[in-house]
Amino acid sequence: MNYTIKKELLPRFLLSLGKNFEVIAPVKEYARPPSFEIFKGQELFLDERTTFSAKKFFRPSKEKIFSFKKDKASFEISPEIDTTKRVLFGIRPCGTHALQALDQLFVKFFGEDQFYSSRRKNTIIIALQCSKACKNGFCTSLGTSQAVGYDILFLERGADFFVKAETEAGKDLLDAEFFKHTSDAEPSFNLECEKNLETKDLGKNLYANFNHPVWKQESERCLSCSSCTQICPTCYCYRLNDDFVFGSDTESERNRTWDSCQLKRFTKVAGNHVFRPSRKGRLRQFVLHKFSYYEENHGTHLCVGCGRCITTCPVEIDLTFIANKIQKDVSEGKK
Amino acid sequence: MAKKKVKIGFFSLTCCEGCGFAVLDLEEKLLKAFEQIEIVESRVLMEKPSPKASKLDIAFIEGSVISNHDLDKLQEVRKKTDFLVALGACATIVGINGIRNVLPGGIRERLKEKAIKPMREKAFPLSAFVKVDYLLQGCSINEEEFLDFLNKFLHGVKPVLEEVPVCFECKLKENGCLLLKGIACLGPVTYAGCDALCPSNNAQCIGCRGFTKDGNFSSLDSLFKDFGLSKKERFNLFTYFNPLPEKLKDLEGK
Amino acid sequence: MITPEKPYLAKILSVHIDTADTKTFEVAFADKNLQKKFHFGPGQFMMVSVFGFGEMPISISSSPYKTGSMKFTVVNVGNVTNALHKLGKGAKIGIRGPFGKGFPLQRFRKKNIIFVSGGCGLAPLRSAIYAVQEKKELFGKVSVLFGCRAPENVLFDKDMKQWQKEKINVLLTVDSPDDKWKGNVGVVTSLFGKVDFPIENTIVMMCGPSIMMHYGLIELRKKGFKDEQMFVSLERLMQCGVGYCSHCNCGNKYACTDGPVFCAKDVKKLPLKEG
Repeated sequence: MNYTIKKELLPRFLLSLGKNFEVIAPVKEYARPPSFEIFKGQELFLDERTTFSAKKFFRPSKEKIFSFKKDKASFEISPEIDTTKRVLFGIRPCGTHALQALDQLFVKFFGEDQFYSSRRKNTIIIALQCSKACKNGFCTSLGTSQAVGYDILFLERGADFFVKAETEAGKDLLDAEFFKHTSDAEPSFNLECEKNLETKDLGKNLYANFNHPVWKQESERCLSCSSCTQICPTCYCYRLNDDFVFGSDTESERNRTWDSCQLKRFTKVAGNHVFRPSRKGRLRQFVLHKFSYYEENHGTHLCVGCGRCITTCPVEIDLTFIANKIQKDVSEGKK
Repeated sequence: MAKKKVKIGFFSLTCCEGCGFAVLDLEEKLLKAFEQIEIVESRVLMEKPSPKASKLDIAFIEGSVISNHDLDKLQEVRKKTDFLVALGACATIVGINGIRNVLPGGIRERLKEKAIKPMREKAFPLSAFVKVDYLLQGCSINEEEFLDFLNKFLHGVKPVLEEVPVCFECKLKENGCLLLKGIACLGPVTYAGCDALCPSNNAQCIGCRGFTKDGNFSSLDSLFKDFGLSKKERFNLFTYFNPLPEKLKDLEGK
Repeated sequence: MITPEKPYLAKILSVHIDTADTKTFEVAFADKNLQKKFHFGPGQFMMVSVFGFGEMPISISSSPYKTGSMKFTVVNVGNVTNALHKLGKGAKIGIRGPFGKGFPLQRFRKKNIIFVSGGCGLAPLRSAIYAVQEKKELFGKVSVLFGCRAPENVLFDKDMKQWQKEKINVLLTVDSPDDKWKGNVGVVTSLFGKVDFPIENTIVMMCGPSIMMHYGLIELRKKGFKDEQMFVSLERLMQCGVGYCSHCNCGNKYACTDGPVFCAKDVKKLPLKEG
């Protein structure tokens, strides 16, 4: 069953969900870049994908996973699992694909991690289909321009949203106060991304050109600021840290914090040896992890073509440029 | 925790003493720490040093060495402390005091004449003269980082200065990048730990926490050049708090 | 399971001082049922937590046939190892595992075996040496080559004497000898000439610093060893041990789940020189 909702009713609908859920929506606050925040009536940002992705609600940048407490006789190891009920509104198709990739890692492939899966299970996903291509996006090249794995899908249609409920949990949210049934056909959009990525044998070709001059050339201006990995919806690398509760010898906690392959410390081992010291190696790791390594292990790319890393790079390093350069050289038989 | 309290001293060389005050800003948290520490010497907190101050577990020293008086004091403290922490930009990277080091000759001489105490030719960070065990960077220091250091120290954990740029923390706070707005920000080459205080308030990072070893200075400099900054302006920005990085020696002179 | 990252409570049963900076800890799960069910292969590692200080990967250095406990041989190099070194008998730590792929000993039946180790790289190999010793009728001749900085850094001298009694050829070398040292001087590769096993029927298992393994493989290839015959344990930083955190990622492999033990023919495919 499909529905419609008037665009002007959207904020009220989202606020009404706030009774039972923590509602997350793309917002624009003051001069800050658009990002996903807990919705309390701020100005919604629905023009295109947000500058920052929604991954922080599934993998927070700092996440306390265990607290340790020593008593005289016992020792407690308590996990801190987040079971907050959430509704995530306005995640774009690229974002839904990113969640699929994280599911693959943290639920299916290496064994279930409940810190992640609990957030995932307790979050209802309302995806918002893009009606036009965004700046620097190249989702059409990677087949990630249609949303997947959502509970509800919103599609723009003039003054309305066309609404498709995919799951029971999703349908339950569609209160008649805001939503009307419709038997109209689902609107469709033809996205034309400015950027394109030649994906034929991409992972194989990039890896085969491990020493292509383009890596050095592009990495020379890399500032190693790590913005690309922080902002990426699929970058998931993290580190574990223990800290004592201040003033206590017996209580401590273990935190997961985001890490970045662009930092030198990422591959540092005891004795201060760094396995990937050069900028070239680090930039290459970012790109190859997305397109080669992940593909070999999981059969798909870890990149969803959102173009955030391109938009955020202060020195305009563009992974589609690197990839296309190598693809072109391969097709012309140069490499 | 019935352990012996850790004896701590605060010392100031030439500086504004802001870092010492930043520690006081911890208020209740500092009071809580008093269960485990004992401050035995501090110009701000005590009229005169406690008799126990002849031997210290940790000495926090703020300020730069700009006179022989500073140097004598520094060496005296080094002798009586097990662990020496340089506190704040002046002590770690010479900071604002270092502007003197890059002034043209004439001005420097006049400054020396007018100085209220005898000055050395140049200002130096502590590490130029003594072994420094750890750096708490920033102008002023980040109190939370101070507390974190203390917590680790009390548990016998050796703190490690991580090669992480301000940008890393700036992005965690979901700030818009100032460099993308054409504002010359030193975030990519400056040590994190300040929670990206300046960029979060739309002010450029000016490197008060010191430059990372891994920073890509030439790339950042050419980016600033593209922003339209003159050689002089770039020189001033890079040397605001820090000595000029080796890779940017070209910026020196006219 | 909540997460593969959940540590389980364990108790230190005994501590043995090996050298000035190395200790061996005998550890067992606090939960007896967990310990009963616990099995591992030589070359596998555990994630060991010293609560409040952190977690680190440590290879098991005891025999896989000894099931009541496990041993970790740990060099004091960082904050977590330092905290562990301060702990004594009865102290509580956290452990989880075993993780990774160890040495595939079942494939080495009837072969001669050379163990090549440098420094604390002998720890994971000791587990394999015990295993081979336990079933010596299944293997051919065995040789243990060990190199370290100085005589005082020699590990497991008691074990070495025992191995020699059991006809295992143990050869030592040090970089800087003292007056009493009568053995070989030089890097561990300088011992290669002293083992004359027929190359075609011999397996090499190697563990030590990256640089040692790099030159070790080169020298062994020169002697005629094929990559299929050589197995190394790679050193990488592992934070999670279960393939999540990606610190140990090298090419499409993860040292924690695909390794740490790799056959040299697979290592060759990895982009080890990442610059």
